Amino acid sequence: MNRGRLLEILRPLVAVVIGLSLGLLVTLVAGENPIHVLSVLLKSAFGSRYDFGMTLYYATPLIFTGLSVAVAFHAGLFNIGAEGQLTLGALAAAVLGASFAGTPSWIAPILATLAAFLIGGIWGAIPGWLRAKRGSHEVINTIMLNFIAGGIASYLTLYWFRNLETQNPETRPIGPGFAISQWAFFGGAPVSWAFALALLTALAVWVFLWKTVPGYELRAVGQSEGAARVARIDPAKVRILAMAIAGGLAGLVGVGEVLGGAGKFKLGFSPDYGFIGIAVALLGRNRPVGVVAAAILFGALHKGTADLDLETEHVTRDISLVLQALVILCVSAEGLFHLRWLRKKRAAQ
Amino acid sequence: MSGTLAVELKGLTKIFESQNGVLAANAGVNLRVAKGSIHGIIGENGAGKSTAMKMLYGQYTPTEGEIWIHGQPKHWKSSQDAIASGIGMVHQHFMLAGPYTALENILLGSTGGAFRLLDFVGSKKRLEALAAQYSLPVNWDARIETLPVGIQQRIEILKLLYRQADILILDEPTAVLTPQETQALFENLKRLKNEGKTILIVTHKLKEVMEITDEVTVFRAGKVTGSAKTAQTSPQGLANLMVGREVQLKIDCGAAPERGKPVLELKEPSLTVQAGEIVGIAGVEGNGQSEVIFKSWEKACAEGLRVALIPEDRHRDGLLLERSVEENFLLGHQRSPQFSKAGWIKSQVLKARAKAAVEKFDVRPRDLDIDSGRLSGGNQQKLIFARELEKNPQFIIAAQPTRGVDVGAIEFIHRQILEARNRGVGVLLISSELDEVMALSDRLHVLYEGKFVAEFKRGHYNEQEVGLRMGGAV
Amino acid sequence: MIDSLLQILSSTLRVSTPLLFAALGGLMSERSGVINIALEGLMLVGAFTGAIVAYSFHSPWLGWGAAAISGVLLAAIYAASVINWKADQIVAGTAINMLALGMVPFISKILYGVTGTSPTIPADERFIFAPIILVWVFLLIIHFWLGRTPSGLWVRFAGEHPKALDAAGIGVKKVRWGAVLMGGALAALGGATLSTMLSSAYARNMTAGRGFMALAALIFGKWRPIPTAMACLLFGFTEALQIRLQGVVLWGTEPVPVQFIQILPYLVTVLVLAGLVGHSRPPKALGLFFEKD
Repeated sequence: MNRGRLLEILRPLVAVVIGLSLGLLVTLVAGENPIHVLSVLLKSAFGSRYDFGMTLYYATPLIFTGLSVAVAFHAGLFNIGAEGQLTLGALAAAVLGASFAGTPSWIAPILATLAAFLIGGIWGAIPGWLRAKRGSHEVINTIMLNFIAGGIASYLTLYWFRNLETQNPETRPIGPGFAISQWAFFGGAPVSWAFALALLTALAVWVFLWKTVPGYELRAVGQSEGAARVARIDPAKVRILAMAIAGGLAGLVGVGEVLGGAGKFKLGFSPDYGFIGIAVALLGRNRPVGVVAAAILFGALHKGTADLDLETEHVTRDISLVLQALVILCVSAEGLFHLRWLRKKRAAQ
Repeated sequence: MSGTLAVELKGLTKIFESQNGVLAANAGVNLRVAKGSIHGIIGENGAGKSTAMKMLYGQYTPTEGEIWIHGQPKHWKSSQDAIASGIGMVHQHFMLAGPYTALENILLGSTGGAFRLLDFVGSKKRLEALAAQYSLPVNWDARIETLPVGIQQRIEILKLLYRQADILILDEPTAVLTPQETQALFENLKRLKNEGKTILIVTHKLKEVMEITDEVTVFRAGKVTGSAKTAQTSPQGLANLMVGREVQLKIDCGAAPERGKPVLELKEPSLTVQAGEIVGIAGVEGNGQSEVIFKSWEKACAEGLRVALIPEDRHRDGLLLERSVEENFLLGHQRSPQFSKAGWIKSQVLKARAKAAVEKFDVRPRDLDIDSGRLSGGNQQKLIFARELEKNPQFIIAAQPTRGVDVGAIEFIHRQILEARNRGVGVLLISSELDEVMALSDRLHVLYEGKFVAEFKRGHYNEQEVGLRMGGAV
Repeated sequence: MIDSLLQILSSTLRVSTPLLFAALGGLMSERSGVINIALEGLMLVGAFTGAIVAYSFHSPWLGWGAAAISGVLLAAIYAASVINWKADQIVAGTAINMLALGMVPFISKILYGVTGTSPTIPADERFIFAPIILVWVFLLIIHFWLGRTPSGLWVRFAGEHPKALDAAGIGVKKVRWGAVLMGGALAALGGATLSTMLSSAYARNMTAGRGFMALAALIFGKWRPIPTAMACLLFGFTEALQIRLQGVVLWGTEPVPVQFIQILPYLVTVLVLAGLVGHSRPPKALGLFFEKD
């Protein structure tokens, strides 16, 4: 491994450590001992099979959204819309599962997975189309479409598919054939085959991007639209395809959350998985392996901070957002890590 | 003696640090410019001319060395200090914002409080007087993007005069001008010189240096390699100093082969290229070259020909700058059965072919994994030629093939184009370097405002006439 | 009928005030070339700071001042990241929003032991209409300042052609810093207006996407002050309408689903950007990091 590659891996790691340290220092303000907070965090994330299972459970949607952002990024697009895509994808899985509750179990999860991918994909293709054909920027469009997706999901849930047995804003439960089994090894944590699906998806994304012609063309468009055109690649088509794939990947969040977890679509179930996906992709350098690793880190943060409410006096799980934010800032702030001494050393040579 | 020097650079050094390492863009540059003279600064791309000028203009802070103006040492924090000392610069890419008016663009640099009201009316009056004095009329309320480049340059020059600059730096001012416009510019520069102003003109065109400058300084690889009175030098001598060895200024084209069938027949604008000939297109940039290139490319591709395209802007249209040489080599071949099957890339074949091509076209360094963005301009262009000629083309469109390319690579590229022609390939050559198209083309069209206004055959070129047509004269 | 129309109009003016503050904040930043997705977080922090300071010191004006300062501080983190440390503006903006979402309950918990709502500000210590007037004054000031002063010109060039600004000897980074900090203050004032005028306390996530709506208004307004204000009024009108139409039966037997009205501003923005309703061109250097070669 050459030095450049080593630095490429090392730098985000250093950034993560710095970001986390800054976040833990913040807890000093609340009169907590950062070391104590850290130990609660670690114990809560990795302390038992159950805890680790929960970490993986939280990591699952982040792998999907991270891959979603990464694929779009390789096509030169910023997918801020994973939140809306995953909302509608999950809703689609839940609605299918509730409406055709009698579907046999050998086919039901597959159908629901496809539905989640398809609906997420369509929702993702919209900003792709808008960018490709109307020239309007996907960042703003995806943000706007997040709100629109929220509105649609809320309307459909409350007006069409509402679970009348509870007061909660959620859809009717899915049929038993749709549920995918959770892994007993993790002592009751809802980690299921959805996690395996996430890992497989990461592998598939890697193969697609680096071994196939469409993947190459997608990355070429992301690098240079002009050069891609000269190579007889249609950037419009590629952009729409990329955003459709990105949307579909985000939609797969529904598999773990609906089929493997709650068994229904709950309004507002996602604690910003879509936005955290941006951080996951960034930290993972948009490489599938990196995305998986980063997703597990953020899953651990999410799980780890969950117990802070009980174990500390002033620090609540909201600190999770602070930690994540600081990690993102440190990772993205490239200029912060132009190590001066390193440059000096090279200058001397 | 130092009393008559307007500018003196003493041991000026500029070192850039980046993630990729350290680059000495200037190393110990010494330069003396006499007051009231026109001084030429010449050198190849990347020789450090612009860096030195930007230090003189206060945009860069020197790592080492001193700048003396009118016998005084100067330490500038920003261009504002340099401007205050009477220095002005017209950059190669104009420093004008398209959506704002000419007047707003001039007032950008005005001094005084940041929150006072701008005096639009008064400034406009003064500018109009100045414009009248040098007979350079400008519509001050027009947005820049609606004005032709010639006028934009006029605005840039008036900007300097408005700020009362007495040392003017012009970076490649003739790149966007016709020969006639160039003459007009030179007339104005001579007039400014007679008024006592000092002018530094950065260029790579030896002919212009000979024509307008009093003295000339040559840059090579960040250093000054020579300085002389223009009258005592020759173009050949300057070229040798620029490159550091004996250069072949003349291109030997040899005899053209028998012409074959047409490879391109374009209706609007009307253009034909036959197999085995080089058809050149001369014209000032922005007169529809891009459209001609695009239409020719589309037409030839639609007819199912194997077409090689050397794009005019290789960074925008030719390369994936953050991808490896190998991946760049694949570009355009990705769907050819040689390189892929059923959607899967044949990576072994790709590696072998890329390796052979890099060898053949002498792309340095011989590293398939290096990002193409880290190659020099010449090697990037060689990589593009390697890739495009891998298509075994019937038709080559070469747009600005030697722009930003060092002399060694220029010779190599010209040879590739001529050899292709001799093999019976039809070549369409678009270049804003008049010398280049005149030397290489078997037939030459002049493009003006999207139309071909004149056609010449080899042996019947006359720079004066071609230049007139480039400027739209009938 | 006239009554309810007047009611909707006055309500429009009120609810568009925080939007307009935030949109002006976004305008400052984006005209200088810095994308501002962080408006949402800046508003949130402003809403919280404004409410607790107004409550503690019994003065909405002090609350406002404190909110502006909090906005400047948060914007400074953003500015340092994107202007000096080359962080991607969209990524860093997202991070700033998360930071605000996490920091506010964190501090709230320390101060009041709860993460949700701040204590209620008594009615006579809240704003009645001052921010409504001020925001329009600010709008006019910004409009003339951008068009008629050297520093306004600098901001415009920083967003359009930063190299030209640099060549004129003016520091691009300095100008952007100034614009982003000012933008932070303005956005935070928008948040404070929300908590000290439109309601009586800070409530968890009370900005509810208004920062993004302000961004939408800015684009709808083509990055120009007056049209942006009009867009804010339009979006404020849909919000007022939505409050008014809650539970109202317009046709058939069911009330109008509130979701349809809620998504209107976002839908309008998508259509505008797609060129289906006018066209909007962003500043040329928007989102691009600037470095002297």
